[in-house]
Amino acid sequence: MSALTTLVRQEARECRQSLIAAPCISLAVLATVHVLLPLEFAVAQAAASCVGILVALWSVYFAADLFATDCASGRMRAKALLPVSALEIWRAKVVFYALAVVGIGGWALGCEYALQWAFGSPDSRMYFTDALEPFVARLPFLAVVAASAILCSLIVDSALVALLCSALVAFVLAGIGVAWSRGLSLLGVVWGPVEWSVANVAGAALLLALGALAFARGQARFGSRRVRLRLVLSTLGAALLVGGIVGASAVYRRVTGSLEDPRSTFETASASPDGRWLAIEVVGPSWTDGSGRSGTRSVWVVDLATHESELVVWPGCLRRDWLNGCALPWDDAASFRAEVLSFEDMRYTGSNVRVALRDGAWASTPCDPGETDESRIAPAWAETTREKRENDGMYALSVRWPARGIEREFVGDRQETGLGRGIFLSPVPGRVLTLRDDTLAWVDLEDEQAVSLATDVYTLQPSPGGSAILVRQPNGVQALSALDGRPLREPWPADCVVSWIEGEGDPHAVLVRELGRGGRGFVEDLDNGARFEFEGDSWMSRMHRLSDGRYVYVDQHSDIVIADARGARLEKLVDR
Amino acid sequence: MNESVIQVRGLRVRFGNKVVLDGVDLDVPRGSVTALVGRNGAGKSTLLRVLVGALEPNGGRTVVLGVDPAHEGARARSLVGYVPDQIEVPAWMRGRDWLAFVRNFYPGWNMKGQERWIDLLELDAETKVAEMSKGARTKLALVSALAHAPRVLLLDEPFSGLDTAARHAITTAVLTSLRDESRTVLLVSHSIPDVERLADRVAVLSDGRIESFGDIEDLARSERGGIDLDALLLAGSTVGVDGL
Repeated sequence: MSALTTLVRQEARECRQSLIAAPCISLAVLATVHVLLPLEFAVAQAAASCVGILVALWSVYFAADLFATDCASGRMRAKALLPVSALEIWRAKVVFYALAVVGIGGWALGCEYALQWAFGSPDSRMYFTDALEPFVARLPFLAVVAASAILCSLIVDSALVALLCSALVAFVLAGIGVAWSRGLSLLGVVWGPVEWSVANVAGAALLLALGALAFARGQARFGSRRVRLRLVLSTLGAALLVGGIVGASAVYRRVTGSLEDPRSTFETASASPDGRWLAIEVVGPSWTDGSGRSGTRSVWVVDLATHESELVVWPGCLRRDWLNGCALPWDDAASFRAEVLSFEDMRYTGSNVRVALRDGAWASTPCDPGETDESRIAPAWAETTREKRENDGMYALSVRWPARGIEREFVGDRQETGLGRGIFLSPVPGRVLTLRDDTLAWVDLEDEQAVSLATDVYTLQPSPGGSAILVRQPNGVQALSALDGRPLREPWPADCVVSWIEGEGDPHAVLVRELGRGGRGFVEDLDNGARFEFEGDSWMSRMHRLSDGRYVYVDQHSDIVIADARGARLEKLVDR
Repeated sequence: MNESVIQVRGLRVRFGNKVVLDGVDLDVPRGSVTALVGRNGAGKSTLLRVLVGALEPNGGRTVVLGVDPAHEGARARSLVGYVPDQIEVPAWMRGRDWLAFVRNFYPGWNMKGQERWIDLLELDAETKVAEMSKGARTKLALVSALAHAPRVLLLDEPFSGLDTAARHAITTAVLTSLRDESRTVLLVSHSIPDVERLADRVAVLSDGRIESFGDIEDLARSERGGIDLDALLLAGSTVGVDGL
């Protein structure tokens, strides 16, 4: 008889009471279910649950008892003196365990099928088989729990303690599984049942391998439990620590949307008045956890002199002008405000923070919770209120000019009465631009005269400083002064998409993109007539115009670069 | 007699911060009976566990019958007979069950030899281990250690806590074993009469090292070394000195 067979037989003899009790208890439980429950469907469901739970219980029980009793009784020391290797003893233990669990599980299953054949019907057998499926699907997880129970049994001196530890470990494993799943989803990976099963089986194999190593090391020190305990805890601790750090780092990099990540884009920016700092709102690469979210937003500050960057708000975005969506300018030379977003859905939480440079480091502090929407293009001469009328469901926008005691009400739908969309207040006091019935018109509040500026207008787009608007019509795009309505240049043809380039002050720079395959992008400064071809992906990249006329944008290599007012590339701001 | 079947060089063993063996050197010649004496906790049992590969040393090298127990523990255990100080046999087994279990691991197990040792030691092998006296358990361990005819026998306190009859039976068995099969024995004992009766060489273990080692008669008569046999043996004797 081989050593393995001898050891397995010895294991069976030492566990003979459990090997007798477990099948008897299983049979008794299943018989009780058949006696107590009247309906065959209920019997099938309950019996399937019983089989599943019994198999799980016996699996954990035998695993927890696999080494603990031997270690406590000193039998493990006696086995350490046999002329067999520690791994041979380990193999015998695992083989015995597998045989015992499969045998008892098979016995429980066989008993129930026998009871079904004796007292059930074809339907009840089918119900029973179907009800077993959820338990079968969880067998890989049971393998992990059982493997962890075997580990517990190696490091404690009592089967009962090992059993309790196993229950605790099962909860911990479930927690790790949830964290793992969450981490994967943050990385854009969603595991199905097959992947989870493979991972569970692999996890069980790794735990068993660790157990074999710990057992062999312990046996080499005359069955020392302390050696096993130290090895298991240090290995698991190190694995959890390293895994946690690596995972958290990967997730962090993924969800923060690092400025250095070439997959990140910058959404908007705002420079300090002295031109030293640039606050950039970065949108990270898309990720999902099944809720359809994408792109975490964060705010970074880049030192334009040294090119050093620092994450200052995450998740968050720059405080926006509520009328044109551009970033608000800095409050002073070394502070600006940002909006705090919810990590769960990247929505505005209603909280703002002030990011300020203090003692050489950027720090954020909560702003006054009473802050309201702000706009730098809302003229100081006017006060506006908008209300929805109950009688006809229309909106009424009231524009007051307190200096002259004039008030004018504009009635229309949501679009027509929307500031910045259907109504635009000129920086020139008393002048209002309206877009309704596809007609753009001047309205003078003093004489209440309306002068048509353009017809067939689709949209109007205010410039970052509010002194000009872009008007899109079927035959092209016009740039008009919001001061007097005169055109700032010849209209662009209809096959162009024109948008303002954000920047400090009141720049009249636009990005012109030609429609169609291979269409190019151009940057035009309407103030000085400068025009140059944009070298990056004009459809994907955003640009920012600094107060000195330089441009910041993402080039074709995904680097964030600075170009001068003529488009000549000056330097690489962020190498990606 | 000159060839060493057990060689120990610079053996170091520590448990945590406690150094138990600190550079032990020892040669046990073939066919000799070497007594290893020393105070409690001197590391005598630890040394024997290292020799059977049940305890991995922290340093040094041991060779038993040409085998390094640290790397080939199972092979070393198959070559030697070992009676540990604590015999951990499952209590529910009968003596004969235990022997039946153990013999599967030794290809050279001799059933006739087994029965012969059972008779010689007057062991009731049908008794359950739980019901056995300490002496009976020691006899059972001795039978299982001798039945596969090992060339080296390691005995760890075989006489501890035994009555005179059991002690006599075991001593007789060891002497018989020596006479019949020219076996090498390394014996750990606190019993000076038994050491005097059985051993031809003595090694004194103290402070983790072999303090003195040599022929028992030479050591006793040596004036140059200033060694007194009684003092030498008493150095390791805190219990079991009856018979002095």
